[in-house]
Amino acid sequence: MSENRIVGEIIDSSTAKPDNSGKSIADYKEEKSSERHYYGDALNDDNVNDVIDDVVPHVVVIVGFPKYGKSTFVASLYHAVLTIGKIGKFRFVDSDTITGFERRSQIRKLEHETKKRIDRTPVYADYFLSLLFENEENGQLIKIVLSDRSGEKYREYAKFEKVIEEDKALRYAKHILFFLDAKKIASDGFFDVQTDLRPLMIRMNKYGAFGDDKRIDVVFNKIDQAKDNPDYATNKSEILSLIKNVTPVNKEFELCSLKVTDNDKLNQFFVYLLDCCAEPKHNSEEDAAHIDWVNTELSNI
Amino acid sequence: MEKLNCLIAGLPDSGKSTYLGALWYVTQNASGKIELALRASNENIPENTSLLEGLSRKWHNVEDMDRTSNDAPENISFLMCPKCSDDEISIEVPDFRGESIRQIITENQPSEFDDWCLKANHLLFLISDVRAGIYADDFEDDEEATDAAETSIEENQTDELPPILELDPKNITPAAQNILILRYLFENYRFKKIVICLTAWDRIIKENGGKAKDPEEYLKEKSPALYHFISYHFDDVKYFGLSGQGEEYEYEKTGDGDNEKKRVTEKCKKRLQKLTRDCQRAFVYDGISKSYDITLPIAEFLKEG
Repeated sequence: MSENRIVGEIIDSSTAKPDNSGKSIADYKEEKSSERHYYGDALNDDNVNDVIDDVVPHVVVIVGFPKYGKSTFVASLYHAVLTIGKIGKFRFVDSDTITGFERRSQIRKLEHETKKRIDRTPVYADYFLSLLFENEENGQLIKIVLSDRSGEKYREYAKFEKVIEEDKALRYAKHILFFLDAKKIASDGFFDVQTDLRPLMIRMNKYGAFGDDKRIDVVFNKIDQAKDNPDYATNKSEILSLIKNVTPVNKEFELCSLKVTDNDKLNQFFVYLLDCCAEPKHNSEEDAAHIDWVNTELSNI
Repeated sequence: MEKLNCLIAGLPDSGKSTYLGALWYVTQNASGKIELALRASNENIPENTSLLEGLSRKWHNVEDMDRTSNDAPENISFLMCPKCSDDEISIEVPDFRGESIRQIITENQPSEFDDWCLKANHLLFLISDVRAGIYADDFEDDEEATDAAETSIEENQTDELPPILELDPKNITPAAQNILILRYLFENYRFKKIVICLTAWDRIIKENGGKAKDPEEYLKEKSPALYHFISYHFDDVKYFGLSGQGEEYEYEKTGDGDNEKKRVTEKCKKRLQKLTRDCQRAFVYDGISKSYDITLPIAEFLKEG
């Protein structure tokens, strides 16, 4: 039977498979996933419409390969929300997915304590996370929905056309955030980034992920471990060209998503994201019902 | 007048048992010592008072409350009345000792818990731990240490599948646990009014150098997300600081080896028992004044909104 390789609440997936079940680890993960659903967990395509209420959500799809820091970024945002209670002028008031955030936050914390990498966003895990804020100045409510899928998923998207077509958010969301590992770009890993990113960009473009009405931002994460490397600027420029050859880029950011305290660039980026949510999106609620991807999803069912 | 059904709830270790023990003792023994807003109903005394008496005994003997119970959930219900009226407030405390309420997070709470919630129209929610999270990275004083930890994680990578995190609800950030429970209650039940009691208030005052602190301001400062969440969902909410014990117990060790135990010191016990006799031990603070009338948080439900 399963045994814990690491103390506490971490299960070693390589030994977790029952001995004589005859099931693959993927099957086992599927089973465990359904068993482990908690109140306030992240959402998926089937239940994301539950976040629909009077507030039209601003959906941000975080695109990036494994270990580029997507979930760490999400955990840092959550940490800021819990400890400060607000981001800029936006006061946190609710979330449908507190447990989903906790899972990501605890993975980061345990990795730091055990010095071992833990499966960040397992391919079976749900990925939509929501936060509701209130603008302190005018009482406006804004809801941000983050799509934080497994980095492995984007590897699959780069390889298989059919798989990417299952990702409705990628097509309908108005905001895509490319998360890139600056440390890797500054090193020999640059070539791997190129090799992984190029087919993904092509497939995303073919799928209709880009367009005039989309906001595409690029984040160079882990900048603290790259900025002093002489190759970084050149390599970064090449990666940006690769992206810009396919889609216009709205803004570029360089930040370290690891620490929240005294991290001005990261906190400014959080504010930027929420400012995007606060921008008027539609002329009327009626328009919103037709344009918003979540509602589009709803009408497709 | 619609009958007031008050649900007293809170996570395990939030101080429910201590409050109930103190409340039962005080309402039985306050006569001639302190004025209470509510009294225990003499007409409708609970059929079985053994649980309440047990808690009261532990409290007046200055003993620790039993923290866990592996038995079936133990529920408590009793009636209280305003001092000059026969109107009754029904007090319900489901599984006061157990984990049922935290099972809301794992979505397997006993159906009995929801039955009790359904009956309630007022909520008294106890919170002992408001911490908004400890994120390991923010506690590294040395930036190089953080980088070294990250590098160590990178170097420890192998081709094996990485381990999966099995989330234990007990490890969820305390503020987030309270948000989840309150969110479930708000989402599924209608409460006309809620009272939030921040427990172990004696400790908070001690940490504040003995100076009084407004409980609402305290929550806003220490756990802003939890505070904003409550404020957003509820217009009519009242905050109290509540000290069921009166002060933190002082312990001493007895026995050796495997027989080693800890017990409250005689000095501490004597001091608290004197206060117990005078009904001047457990207290509440509403941001304006301190009172030994610990029925006040429940009496709050009688006030017009």
